[in-house]
Amino acid sequence: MATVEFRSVTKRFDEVVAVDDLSLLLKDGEFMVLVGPSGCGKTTALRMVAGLEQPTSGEIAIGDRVVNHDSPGRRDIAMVFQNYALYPHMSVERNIGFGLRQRKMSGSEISARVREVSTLLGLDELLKRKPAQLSGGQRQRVAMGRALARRPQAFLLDEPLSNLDAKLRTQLRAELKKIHQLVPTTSLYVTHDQVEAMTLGHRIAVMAEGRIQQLGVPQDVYDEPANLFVAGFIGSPAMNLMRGTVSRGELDAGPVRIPSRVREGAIVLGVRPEHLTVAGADGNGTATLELSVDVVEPLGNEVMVHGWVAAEPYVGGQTGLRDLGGEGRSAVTARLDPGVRTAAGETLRLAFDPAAVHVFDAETGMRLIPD
Amino acid sequence: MRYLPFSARHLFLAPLALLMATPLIWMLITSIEKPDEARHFPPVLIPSGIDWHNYTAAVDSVPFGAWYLNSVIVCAVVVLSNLVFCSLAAYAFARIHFFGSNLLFIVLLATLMVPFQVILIPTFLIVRHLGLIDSLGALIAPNLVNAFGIFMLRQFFRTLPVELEEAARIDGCSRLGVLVKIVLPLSAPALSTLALIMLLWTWNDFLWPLVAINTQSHMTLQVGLSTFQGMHQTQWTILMAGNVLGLAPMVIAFILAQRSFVRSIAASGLKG
Repeated sequence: MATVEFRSVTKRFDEVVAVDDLSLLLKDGEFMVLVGPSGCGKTTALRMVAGLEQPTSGEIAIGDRVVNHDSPGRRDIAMVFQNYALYPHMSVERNIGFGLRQRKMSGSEISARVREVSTLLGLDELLKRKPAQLSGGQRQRVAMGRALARRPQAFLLDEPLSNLDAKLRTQLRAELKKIHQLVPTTSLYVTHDQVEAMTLGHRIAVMAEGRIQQLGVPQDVYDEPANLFVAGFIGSPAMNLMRGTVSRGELDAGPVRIPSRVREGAIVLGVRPEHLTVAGADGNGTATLELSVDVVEPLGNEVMVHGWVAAEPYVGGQTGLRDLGGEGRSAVTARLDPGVRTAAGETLRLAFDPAAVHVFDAETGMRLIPD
Repeated sequence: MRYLPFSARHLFLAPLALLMATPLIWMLITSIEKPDEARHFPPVLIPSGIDWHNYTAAVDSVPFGAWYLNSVIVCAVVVLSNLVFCSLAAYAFARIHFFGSNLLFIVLLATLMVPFQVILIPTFLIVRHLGLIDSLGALIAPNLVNAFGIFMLRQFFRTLPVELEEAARIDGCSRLGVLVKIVLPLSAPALSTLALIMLLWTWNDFLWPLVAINTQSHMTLQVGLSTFQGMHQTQWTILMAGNVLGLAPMVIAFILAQRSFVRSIAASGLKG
């Protein structure tokens, strides 16, 4: 096992900067997740560690060795591909053992390693099959097995779960975590799925436009997003964002009026959907807003209510029903108790704790810390 | 209409197939007829009896065995060398980015547009300079590698998922290792198609062997058979018997290779 380090790594494809001055250190045994929207440079960063792309500038080190000029085979890393990339003409057994055969291991040692890995992954019954005879989940396990059998310095995983259906994805996500607990190898995991990032990563690096927007423990990133991009990207449903101003100790965003100690000026207010509750009769110590309900999604254990409030919307970085907003209307989603009864066209008075809001600079998008 | 054992398309295709098969059928019939029947007009379509004598006459009257062997040797060497050299060149054009690779590939394709008649004399001069005229080497050397084969294999290699090759490189394969262990085993349909095409071309090639070979014992089958056609008279029955013997290996090869044309396992290791 070893550390993996990016030292001021930049990668350009002609005029496009895919990765921009990236510096990142994966500790020995750490599970690091690179998460971001497609085209943010996360896969390119991973491929540079694998040796499948050359950095335009900067260094990549595995352990204490700079590997910029090493071929992929000499870097002692293993990679799991999004489409598994199993060799179609080889049996499961030969797929798992391929990397070992390339390294001229003895036959008995190879079969011992293959057995060990196939037992760990529950592939014992499938060793003689060809990849075409396997289900998606089984192929994914074989791809994992091929990487594990090598016992490499580091694992590189490129969206390994994104081709699976939702149920299998959840199951394999937990399996991946278990495997890493059993075999704690330094891992770099690339995904656009923020749930995978939150659940798997020791630390996560949120990327956009080739740069790391925030690096930290998943809960910290969730609780204290460094900027508007991270705030909108991490969390599902995404954080509700609306424009406002702060002046003379008061934050004013459409229907919301709360005391605030951040610096004065134009801001963007963020409230997580789960921090909204139906306002009670007293409403002491809470702030409220009126939500015009558009769509109600009962999910059994909770109900998702989408609508809008009379505030200037912040547009950028969000997805989904936020498009319901418009001029002077800010889309808001609330995650409420399943007992809440409401319907499209109604108005719902919601309350939230003024201390639970996030405030961002409207110009720079950076998080504003109260003085 | 629905109850007919054929579709309307067959009403058009069946006569066309018969038209295509007519020369072959006529050849087969002629090869077992007596010389009078073969020369008869209108043609005798049902011979009075089967005369195998034509076949023995064809084999005995000339160095038939030597021609056959020459054809087999030339074909084997040309097919094998094309598989090796075309796949090496095709892989480089398909996957390795080097300076001028696109230009070089276009130049290579351009050579396909030049008819052989145009380069017949230059080829002859080069081969003579190499001292190979009137030997089997003259038939082999100019055909060791073929631009069409490079083009065909390059197109096929580009359809293979590049992740397989990347995975193999991470597993420790060299470029050549990737080609031999991953790309070629997945390219069986393309390789067998190329092998068959080269076999047909080489086996049936007539013009170049006719020009390059003078000694009777160095001739290939196609050139040798043409010697049955004299200036004043042609022994049709014996010529056709020889043709049947010459055609048989190609028909067999085609039937055998036809299956692998259809088979393609390349994408099965990936999702879907």
